[in-house]
Amino acid sequence: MGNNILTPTNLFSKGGVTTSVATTITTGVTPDTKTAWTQLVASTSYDMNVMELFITITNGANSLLLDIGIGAAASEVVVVNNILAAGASQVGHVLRLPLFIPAGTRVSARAQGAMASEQIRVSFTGWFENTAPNGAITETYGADTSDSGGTLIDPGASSNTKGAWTELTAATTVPLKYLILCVGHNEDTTRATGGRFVDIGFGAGGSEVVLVPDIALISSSGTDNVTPLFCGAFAVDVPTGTRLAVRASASFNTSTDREFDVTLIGVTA
Amino acid sequence: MAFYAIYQASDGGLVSLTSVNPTNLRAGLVVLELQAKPADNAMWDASTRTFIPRPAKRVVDLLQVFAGDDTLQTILAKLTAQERQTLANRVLFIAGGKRYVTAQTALDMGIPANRISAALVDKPNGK
Repeated sequence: MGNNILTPTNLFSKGGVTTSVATTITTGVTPDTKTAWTQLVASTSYDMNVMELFITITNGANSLLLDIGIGAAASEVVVVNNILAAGASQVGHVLRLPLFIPAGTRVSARAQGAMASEQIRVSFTGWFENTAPNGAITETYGADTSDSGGTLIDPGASSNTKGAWTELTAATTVPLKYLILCVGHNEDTTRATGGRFVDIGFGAGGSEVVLVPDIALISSSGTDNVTPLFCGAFAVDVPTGTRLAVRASASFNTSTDREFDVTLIGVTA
Repeated sequence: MAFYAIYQASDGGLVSLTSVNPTNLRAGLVVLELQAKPADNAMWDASTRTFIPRPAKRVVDLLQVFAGDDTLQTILAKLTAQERQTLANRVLFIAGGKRYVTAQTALDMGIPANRISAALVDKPNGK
C-alpha cells in the first residue's frame, strides 16, 4: 500500500510535462465510434483508490464518450466506460472516481465523438486514501453510443417544478456504493441562462423514491455549457437489480432550451 | 424495445418513463405503451397525452450573415465558385458550434436587425 499522501506528478501523463496540457485524445474520423487507446501513463507509481481525472474539452460543441482502460497495449480492459464529456465551449472539469488501481498499472484512454476528429485532453492524478473504499467495477447508465451523448432529461412545461422521471437503467447489475452524475449540454450551442435541480431516484416507474435530491446545475448563454459536468461521487447503497431514474426542474420552461442529457456512473465497493 | 409513459389521468402530466412494464400503479396514474423510447427531439404533450415533435429552435446562422454582407458580397463575387466554397468551409470550421447564435447574441454582436431576420433558421434539435 502507498502512503496516504498525494502523489501528483508521477501519475500525470507524459504529455502534460512538456507542454502544460494533458494528453490529447482524438476521436476517429467515423463519428460515434471509439478510437484506438492512447496511453496516459505506462506504469502507475503507487496503489491508488482515488483517481482524479482532469478532462478538458478543447474545441467544444459536441458530446464525447470517454473510456478509461488498464492493461498492456492491445490488451486494454475498460475500467470506466462512456464517461459523458460534453462542452459547448472550452471547459475543464474534474471527475473524482473512487476506483482502486494497483501500482504498476498502464492506464489509457479512448473516446468517441458526435463529430469526426473531436479532441479532448485527459490526465489524472491518484492517491491512496486509508479511509476510502477500494472501488472496483464501474458501470455507466444512460450513455447513448449512437450519438455519443447521454439520456435526455426534460424538466417539463412547468418551470421550477420537477418533471417526469426518465429511466437510466431498468436494473443495476452490481451493488453500487457510489453514483456520479455526468451532465451534457445536449449539443445545444445557443443555451439560455438558467438553473436546474436534478434528482436521482430509484424504484419502479410511477413509484420512484428520491435517492440524491436537488443537485444544482446552471446553464449559461455565455458558454452554452450546463455545469458542473460531474457531480458526486455520492455515497449510496444500491443493490443489484435496482431501477435508476433521473428527473429535473428548471427555472424556465422554454421547450427548446430546458432539456439536457445525463449519464450515471456507478461504482462498487 | 417497448417503453411506457406513465402519466396522471387528471391533467396528463408525465410522471415517469420506463422500460419496465408498470404494475400496481397507484390510483390516478395511466400507462401509455410506446413502441420505443421517445426520441430526443420529442416532448410530452399533456393536453394530447402523447409525445409530439419538439419545436425547432429559431437561431441566427452567422454563415448567412457573413455571406449576405454587402461589402463581403463584393469581395466574394471576385472569387471562383470553388474558392467561395473553400472559404465557406473554412469559416464553418472556425465557427464550429458557434455558427448559430441567438437573436439577442447577434444583436449584441452589432449585426443589424434586418440581417438577423434574414438569417433566422430552424436549428436542428439536440443531438
